[in-house]
Amino acid sequence: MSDDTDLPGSSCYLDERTFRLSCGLFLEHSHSLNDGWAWKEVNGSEAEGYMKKTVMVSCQVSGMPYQSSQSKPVEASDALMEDEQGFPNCGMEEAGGEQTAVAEGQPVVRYEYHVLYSCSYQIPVLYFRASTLEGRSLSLDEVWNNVHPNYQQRLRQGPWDTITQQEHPLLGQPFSCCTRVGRRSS
Amino acid sequence: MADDKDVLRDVWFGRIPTCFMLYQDEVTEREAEPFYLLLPRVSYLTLVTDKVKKHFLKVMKQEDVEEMWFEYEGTPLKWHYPIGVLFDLHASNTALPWSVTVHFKSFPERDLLHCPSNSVIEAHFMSGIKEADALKHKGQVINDMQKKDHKQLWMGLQNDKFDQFWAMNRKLMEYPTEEGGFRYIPFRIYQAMSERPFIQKLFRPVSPEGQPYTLGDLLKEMCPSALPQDDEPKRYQVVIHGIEPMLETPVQWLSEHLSHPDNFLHISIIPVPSD
Repeated sequence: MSDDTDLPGSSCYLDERTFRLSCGLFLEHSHSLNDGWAWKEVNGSEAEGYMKKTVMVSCQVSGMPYQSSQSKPVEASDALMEDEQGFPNCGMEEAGGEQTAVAEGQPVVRYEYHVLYSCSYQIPVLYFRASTLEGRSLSLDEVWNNVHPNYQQRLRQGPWDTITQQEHPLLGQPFSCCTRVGRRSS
Repeated sequence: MADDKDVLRDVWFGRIPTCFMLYQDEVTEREAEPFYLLLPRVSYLTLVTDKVKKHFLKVMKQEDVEEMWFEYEGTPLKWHYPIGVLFDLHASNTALPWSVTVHFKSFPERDLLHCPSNSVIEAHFMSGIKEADALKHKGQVINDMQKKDHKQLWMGLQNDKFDQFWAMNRKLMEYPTEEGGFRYIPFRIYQAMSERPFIQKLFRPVSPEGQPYTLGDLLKEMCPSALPQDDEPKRYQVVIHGIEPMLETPVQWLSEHLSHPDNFLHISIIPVPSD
């Protein structure tokens, strides 16, 4: 179907089959680490699906910027709900530096991460959404405020130029999407 | 061909007569009258409803007004879908004018994208054009255009200027003659009853032997249930811009002539009305 060996830098692109195979390997690895990623089928069709991970995190939801001085370091597992993996730094996997500190009495926020395949661009795309336990979606500002300041700057510099709201192509609901703005025309 | 150019104009100037009514639970200082407007099929709700907002704000207090959103018979309307698609999908076999309910409270966060400004609409529109070009030309045509050319596409849509828009858009409709068509056809198939918002997959307009694929071929591969099976009576209508093109129509021709300004072919599959 999508034979793109003629694309410049074709190693950057993957066809859908390679995406599924790569997901399989990724999920095996995740499973061995007990990291919580799972495959979700679309409409019971084995051929189509995406990777999903749900994380419960203690976060700031008042819209106030992150203030590490107010909180105390906590083991990731202390912030866990049953069957969910706590994931400090709100999804940022980079090591180095202490884990995002979590203060007692902080509201818990649910982060959902989905990795889908884009057949138009032939790359995987990351979608995510954050909501309170009552189901209220976090605004983009609130999401940014919960990214550790160390990572905020790096993220804003790219290659992920922006986080935008997009319709999830398989669920039809609003998600946030890390988009690469790419080459800017003159 | 002169006829084909006419098609481009007919598509661009398609309109839907719409009646906007304020949701009954909104708090008003006096009764709100309905507001009537001809909506361009090829545009987006939040781009063309400033007058609607102004009309209803006349009878409301500022503190009772949050982000405006629209709903038809209980279904929140996705502003980021072209207006014509929303109508065809939800209301095509109902009496005109299209009755749309206007809300200023309780924005449905789980269903609708926010639209705080026109630049959000522009970004969404341009990202559609870029994605379509990625499919048609690996993005080469859109990337070779300058920023001012991109702006011209947007301004053409925003200001309803057919000539301004098509002066640029014609470049996005070109292809190497030896190829017989685009690399892949940008399309989305919508079904009102489906959980999935749309079907979008890779589809070449021409077979390896050089035969043009038709609308019927596209549906057979992407949405076979939409097509009548053998002797069964027709259960679904395949609608583009409010009409049912013949299934024998080549998809390359459809892509060049019946695409929306975002360069996508938006196809609605709706049940045949039972009357």
